[in-house]
Amino acid sequence: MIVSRILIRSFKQKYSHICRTLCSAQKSNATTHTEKTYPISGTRTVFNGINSQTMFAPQTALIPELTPGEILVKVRLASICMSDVHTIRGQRIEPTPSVLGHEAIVEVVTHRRPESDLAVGDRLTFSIADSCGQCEFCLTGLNQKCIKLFKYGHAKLSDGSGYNGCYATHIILRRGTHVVKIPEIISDRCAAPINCSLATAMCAMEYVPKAKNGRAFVQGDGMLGLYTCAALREHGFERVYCSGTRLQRSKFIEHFGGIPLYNDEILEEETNKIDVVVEVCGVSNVVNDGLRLLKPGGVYLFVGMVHPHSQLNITGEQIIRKCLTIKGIHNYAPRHLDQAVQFLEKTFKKYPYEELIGPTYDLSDLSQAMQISIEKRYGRVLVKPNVLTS
Amino acid sequence: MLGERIVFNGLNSEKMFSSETVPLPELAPGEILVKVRLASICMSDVHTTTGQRVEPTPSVLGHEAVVEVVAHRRPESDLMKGDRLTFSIADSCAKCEFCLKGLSQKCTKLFKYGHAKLSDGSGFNGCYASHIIIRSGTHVVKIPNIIFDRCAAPINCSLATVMCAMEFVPKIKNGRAFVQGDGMLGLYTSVVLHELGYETVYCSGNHIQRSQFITRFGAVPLYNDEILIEETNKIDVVVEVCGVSNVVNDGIKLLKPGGLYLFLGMVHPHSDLHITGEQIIRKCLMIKGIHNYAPRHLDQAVDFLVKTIDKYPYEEVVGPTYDLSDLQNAIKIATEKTFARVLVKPNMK
Repeated sequence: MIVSRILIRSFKQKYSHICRTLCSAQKSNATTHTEKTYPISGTRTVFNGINSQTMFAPQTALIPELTPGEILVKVRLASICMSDVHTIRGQRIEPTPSVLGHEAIVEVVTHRRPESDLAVGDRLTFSIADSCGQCEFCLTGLNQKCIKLFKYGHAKLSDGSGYNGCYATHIILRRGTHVVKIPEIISDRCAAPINCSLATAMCAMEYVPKAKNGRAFVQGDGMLGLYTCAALREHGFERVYCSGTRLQRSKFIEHFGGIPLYNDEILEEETNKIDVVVEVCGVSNVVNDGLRLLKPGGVYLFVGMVHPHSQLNITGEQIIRKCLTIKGIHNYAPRHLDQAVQFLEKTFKKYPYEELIGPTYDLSDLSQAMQISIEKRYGRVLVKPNVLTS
Repeated sequence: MLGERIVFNGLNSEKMFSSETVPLPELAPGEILVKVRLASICMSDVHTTTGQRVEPTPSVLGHEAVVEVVAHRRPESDLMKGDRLTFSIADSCAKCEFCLKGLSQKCTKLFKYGHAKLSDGSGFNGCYASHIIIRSGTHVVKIPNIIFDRCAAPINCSLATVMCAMEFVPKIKNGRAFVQGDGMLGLYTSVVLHELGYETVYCSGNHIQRSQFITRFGAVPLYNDEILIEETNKIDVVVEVCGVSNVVNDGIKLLKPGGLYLFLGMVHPHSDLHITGEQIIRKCLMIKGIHNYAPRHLDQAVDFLVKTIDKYPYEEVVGPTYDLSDLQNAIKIATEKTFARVLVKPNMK
């Protein structure tokens, strides 16, 4: 009896040793399965279009096996970008049916990137754009215009597995998608908006010159506006004005290093004196003010007006006489996602990022969460899926 | 010593141009007294006489010329009497924030030849005259013998402005460009892009007779909309040098994502743009306004011309020369745009 127990124990020990070896071999090879069960299915909220009977409908679907380079992630927390709000209000058209949502902090469930140092449980942010890395645009650092571009939250349900957007329990990140680990110091709530709003602001900053005693004017007090204020201040700008439509945001503007501007008088005084103007409000009627404020040689960044109702009422003469530069910023490239995470980590204690973020709604309450977003009381409204325990 | 100048009295005056002979003043430190060898008529002066542009009056117009040193007070320079020079349109202070960051054309104390009141200084402020007093903040560049007067005259507005525009043009492998305008600016821009290594440079305009010049300046004449459609989203750089805003929509369509649009010509109020912010954002475009140039661009212009003077038919695009006393007639011929430039030469006493 004792001998058999000893035999059994040594057999078990050998077996678990073999298992452990196998498992660690599996981990180092990063194969498709972990010790836990591979999730068989997930849930996504499908957008059927604004004219359909149910605009949003939950759908449970199988999660397929991963192909090389893919990462299966679960959504920890998603945030609602204003562009999604515009989609459900009909100001933007996205393909339907689709899964919306492109801002989220996610967690690795499993992956097929053996050359990477990704581990199960890693918290990640990921590039909105999946790009090929080989076309002329990718090769010149303009991945967001890749000829084979795929954008999370902007793709048809029938594209791939359909796990293409953040209003879901899971996302399958494709192999051309850049990912960045989120340092521990950054909470989920602050991490969610990184991969659209903050990364886009980093892309915009690439075109901002260093200006001694620089003065800037940020037109818009939403998430983009507040991030841009902080980024300009960190870049060394001495004075950053920020204007918007919500007087209640003025204290946030101050906390993010800006000077709230709801008063036309200051605008008059600063005519021809501003080095950089950044449009982040999505409204074209601010552009004339911006052009007037810019000093000769100044830079105007257009970031928000990504919709057709953005007619500009300006002349070529205005741009020529002041030797102005106007630069359009749409999305960003992989390096900007890295810069965004670094920026947030570096300044996490300096600016009240948490305070900008509003309440969290369950994924099943997406319609309600969108309604609250429309009211623009908060910089961001969050959505959290019920995650299947694994 | 006396000098003659043609005073512009404004559109609505009895005599638009009148001749005036006055003593030339003593020079102040840094100034250069030059005689005008040959002036050329820039289209902006044509626009002034047709009322599309407003200049102070009375004034002496004309800001493009090749000149010759008569006397100077720049002891630290190597200038000599008889030197042929081109000179910067802008007189600038070199100390303000704009001069210090290389944007001298927006100097806080800017003075522009051909754009100043007669009462400003000695009044010898423009090129439609026998002499000009070049001020102490004006950059000058000697013209090598290899460049004749006819080719030298348009350097200090047209060619130098093009060099300024080129500062923003990236060197691109197999680059494609589109020049909107076939005037002096358009032809210079075509040839500079060609020399910069751009594989295909299209050039469009109104004057089909210019098409043979366009070809000889290294570009593909474009009077055909079909090519425009094929090249949608494929052009790296578009340059507006025609002064007309309705070409801008075409330009934006042609640009590839990340492309560059240079605006040079539309320096007048009737330049409404009918474009959306979305067009600029979705393609991540850059639009850059180019107005005049800085001193370094004048040097670059002369260097470029020296390097390429035998390669391109610069002489042939320049038209006839009129006597200074015939200025009004010369301007009328310039208006017809038969030639890229019409020249004016003062009778020297």
